[in-house]
Amino acid sequence: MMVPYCLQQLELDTTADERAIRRAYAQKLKKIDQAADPAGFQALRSAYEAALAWVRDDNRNAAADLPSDGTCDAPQVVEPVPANAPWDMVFPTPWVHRASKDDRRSDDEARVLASDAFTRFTEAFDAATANRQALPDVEAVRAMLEETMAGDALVNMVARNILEHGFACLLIQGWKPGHEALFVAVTDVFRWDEDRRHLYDLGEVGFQIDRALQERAMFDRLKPRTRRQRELLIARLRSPSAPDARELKSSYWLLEDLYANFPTWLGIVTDLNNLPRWRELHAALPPRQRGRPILARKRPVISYWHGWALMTALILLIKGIGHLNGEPSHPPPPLPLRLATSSELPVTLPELVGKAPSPQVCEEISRIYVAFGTGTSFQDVKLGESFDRQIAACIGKLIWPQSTLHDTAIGQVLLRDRLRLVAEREKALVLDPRMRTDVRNHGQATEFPRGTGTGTSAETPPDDTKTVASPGAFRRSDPNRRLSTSKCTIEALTSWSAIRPYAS
Amino acid sequence: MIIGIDLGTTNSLAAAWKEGRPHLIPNGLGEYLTPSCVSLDEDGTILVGKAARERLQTHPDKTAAVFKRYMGSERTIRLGKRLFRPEELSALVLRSLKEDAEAALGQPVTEAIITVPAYFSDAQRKATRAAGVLAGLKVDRLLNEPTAASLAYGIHQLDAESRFLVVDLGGGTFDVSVLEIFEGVMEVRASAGDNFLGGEDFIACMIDRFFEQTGAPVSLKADAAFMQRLIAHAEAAKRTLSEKPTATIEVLDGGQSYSLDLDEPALEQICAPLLQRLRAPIERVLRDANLRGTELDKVVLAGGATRMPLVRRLVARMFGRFPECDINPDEVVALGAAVQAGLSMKDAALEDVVMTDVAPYTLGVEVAMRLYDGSFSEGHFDPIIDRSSPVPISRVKTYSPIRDRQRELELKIYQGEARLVADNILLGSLKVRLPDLPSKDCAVDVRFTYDVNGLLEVEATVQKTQHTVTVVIEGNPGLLSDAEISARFAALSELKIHPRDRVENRTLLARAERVYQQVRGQERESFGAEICLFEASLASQDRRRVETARQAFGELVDHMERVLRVLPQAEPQG
Repeated sequence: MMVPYCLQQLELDTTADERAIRRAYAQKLKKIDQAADPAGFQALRSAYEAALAWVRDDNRNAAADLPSDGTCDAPQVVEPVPANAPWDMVFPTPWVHRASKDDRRSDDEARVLASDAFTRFTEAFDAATANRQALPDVEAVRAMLEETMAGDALVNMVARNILEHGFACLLIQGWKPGHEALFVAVTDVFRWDEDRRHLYDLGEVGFQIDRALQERAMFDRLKPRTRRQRELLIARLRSPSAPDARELKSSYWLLEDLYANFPTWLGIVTDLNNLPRWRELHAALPPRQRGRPILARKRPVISYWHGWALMTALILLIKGIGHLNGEPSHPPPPLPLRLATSSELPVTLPELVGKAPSPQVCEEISRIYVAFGTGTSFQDVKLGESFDRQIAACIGKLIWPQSTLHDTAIGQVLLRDRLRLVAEREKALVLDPRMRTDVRNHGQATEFPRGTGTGTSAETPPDDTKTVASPGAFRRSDPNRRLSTSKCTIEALTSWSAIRPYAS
Repeated sequence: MIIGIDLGTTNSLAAAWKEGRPHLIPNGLGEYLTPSCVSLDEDGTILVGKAARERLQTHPDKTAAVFKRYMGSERTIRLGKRLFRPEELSALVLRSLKEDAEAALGQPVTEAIITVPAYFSDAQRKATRAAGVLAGLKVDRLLNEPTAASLAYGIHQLDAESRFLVVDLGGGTFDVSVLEIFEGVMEVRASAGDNFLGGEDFIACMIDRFFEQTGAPVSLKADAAFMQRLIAHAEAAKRTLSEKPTATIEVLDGGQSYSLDLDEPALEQICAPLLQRLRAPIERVLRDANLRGTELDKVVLAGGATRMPLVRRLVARMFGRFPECDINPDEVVALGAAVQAGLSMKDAALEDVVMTDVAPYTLGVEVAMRLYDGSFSEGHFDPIIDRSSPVPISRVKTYSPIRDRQRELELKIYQGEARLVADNILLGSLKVRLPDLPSKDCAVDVRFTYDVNGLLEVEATVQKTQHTVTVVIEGNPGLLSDAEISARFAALSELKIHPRDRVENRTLLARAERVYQQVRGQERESFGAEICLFEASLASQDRRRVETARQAFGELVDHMERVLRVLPQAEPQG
């Protein structure tokens, strides 16, 4: 088997175990002067961490070994590409899920504690939310939460972590009455807003919650009037009653716009199961009554000619005043932002993306990736699915340069890739006649985003993967199969966290 | 010879690595702990240590304490006619320790390792280094306090592999670290803390409860003398509760006496919110290190406040075992600094040992994110260096301006974990001039370099022009420039510290003055006479006479303190 680069740097071969890796690292570290040679130290440290990750992953997934160059003895894997390996390696799985059997056993007690607390809470919460007219507000939910957590039993940290994970899964699963208050209360009590890294430690659900919080932060930054309008719409979407023609005309495009820009957060605070019905009803309207899509605006949209004239006059006026004051009319230096525009793609990118991953290819890809910005905004233009795919493959083959491995945006790349895989799987299963009855919702999910004009900004190309994947990721459940929270246990929820499209 | 110095909020210590072990260095009084207090004496000399602490009650306008809290800020303290910056006061303490070390080791000392709380910001660290320079010491390295404590413990068990948690609760700060030892490598896995949680917060809670329950008038809070006495009593009660089941805080004010009875459960209930705050950094540090409580081999304590049974019980409950404190929690940080001194001197005994530390908090810049309607939302935090990354570390990220033809890019550097910069701490800012080009050609590479001392260097390079700007992080008023440091060094050198050989007598006199202030009536007069007699014998300069007089007088002062229930001057509260 090919020796990973990290082991080569430590002068080891693939027979190395954890102890050998540590010894090699220790020996090399003693020879380096950290203060005088920081670059050397960093390189050594990256190699060490990669080697440790490699050896731990090897131990855990000994059965599902990836077929690498040369030996192809590994059993045929059912899923198309390495399913679990990249995730376990790149994102520390919630540390309650680590593989060692001893850990699992000692966790049982913590699990029991957490389960009890969780069940207590969900019972109280269900009782409080039974009356849909009088849902508890954030303070009431927070009080309920704190009461649950106040018991002495939860001094045990592992139990608290499991409980936290359970809440995250509960929220990500989809909206239920009262969840909008629950989301705010849970975020406050567990302080998810203060510490992003803590969220990432919760695994995949943590990433989703982080995205939702990011979207929420962006939403809160909108101007109060626009925000109010949208808040009303979000509240409206929670009610199952069908919209009438007037409502559709005034609000439908706004809704699509909202959904395109805040999908994760909306999935938590409002009922996205109602969205297909709105889309159906809207498509059924005659074209003239459908209302106007919301256009992206880089410049103010002027639809009337005298608006144009007014604008020109104003600009001239301001410039005139500026000249009088002797100052150039520059806006105050605003804050930096990383942008990536597709016009800057290098010519060699398609070739690069088509090649099989190798250390040189991966170095090149990582250089491009770093240079073109890695998107703290979920709106950033991606360099394409195949680019993401290539990054995921490089990471899977353990040849991605370690220095950027913990970048949160890399996590987003992998998340996108993952969701794309899920979507592909769903598409495949849609065609399977045996699954037809269960699949209706999902079948619709794959169709209508393509059908409707997206109504999103012209900057982001209609992103099929994104809109298709999100419903899948939320598992908008068939009403007949809706899980009632009273039967929800921690196990049921946390087992969801590995996205399995159909729990058979 | 490099020495290790623990420059603490309440006490400072010096230690050295000799003969394969760390040794503490005694001060002029023969003690290891030197209170971090500075006082201006009547004849214009500077008193450092216990003598100064005694004068805190008698001459508060000429004495300063707890100035570590103000390091990195612009606050000045007046002693007599002169204003001092916190760096200068710390420098005086360091100078006194330096003289003690030279006397004990018999050789000149010019380099030192100084410890700082792991959570100290960039400005605070630079101020500490400036203090060292002002004291005539080259600061070889700034060491994080919990790392130092780990070193002190780890040095005894280098062959075994072990993981342990260090809980350091000092007078004013709380630091937690996870250390892993293997193959002679001492590696800090993660570090967290709270800069505003310390022993004195426990006292503050007790005092609040005192005022609530005894009905003492709130106006007394403004009475400095009363508050000092109250604090001393509260501190004593806290210590008594460690040994006995109940304690009483009783303070006199004029004729009126106020008392409050306390027992352990009451104290626990009073301090419950503080105990809650102790928990959060511990959990964070374990999560960052990806460990669970059961995987730790032991939990060790550092810092005087960990003597409280409250704190020990909390730690025991969290980990299911009692924490260890084999090494005196007051001394452990200084001993660790000495170990690092030995490592820096490349001592033969430590040939096979190496230590790595981590960044205690995330560092990043402020960015704006594009909203879906094309406008920009400012005030978001983009991390560049994650917390618990091993140091030294250097990371680069690229940023672009929002608009075309921007003149300059302002990078605001923040420290913290939150999503929005409003919830993080601003370290400074940096302006980069941009070429007159459209925004996509104006990408700027920003490199953050965090070195082993925990000092941040920021370098911004405009890609197109390769024009580089390195920061001296501006916008931080608390820092001294090199020129200022030289000027102040000259000024400080003129100040004389009280001669070492006479410090014992001076301390005794200061103590006597404090006791004199607290007694009344006839006892006061007779005590006053005794003080005059002692001063006279000091003036005689006859060594034997001075020694006998000192011994007799010392016993008298002890007697006064005991019998008249005049409490010794407790550690000053900020």
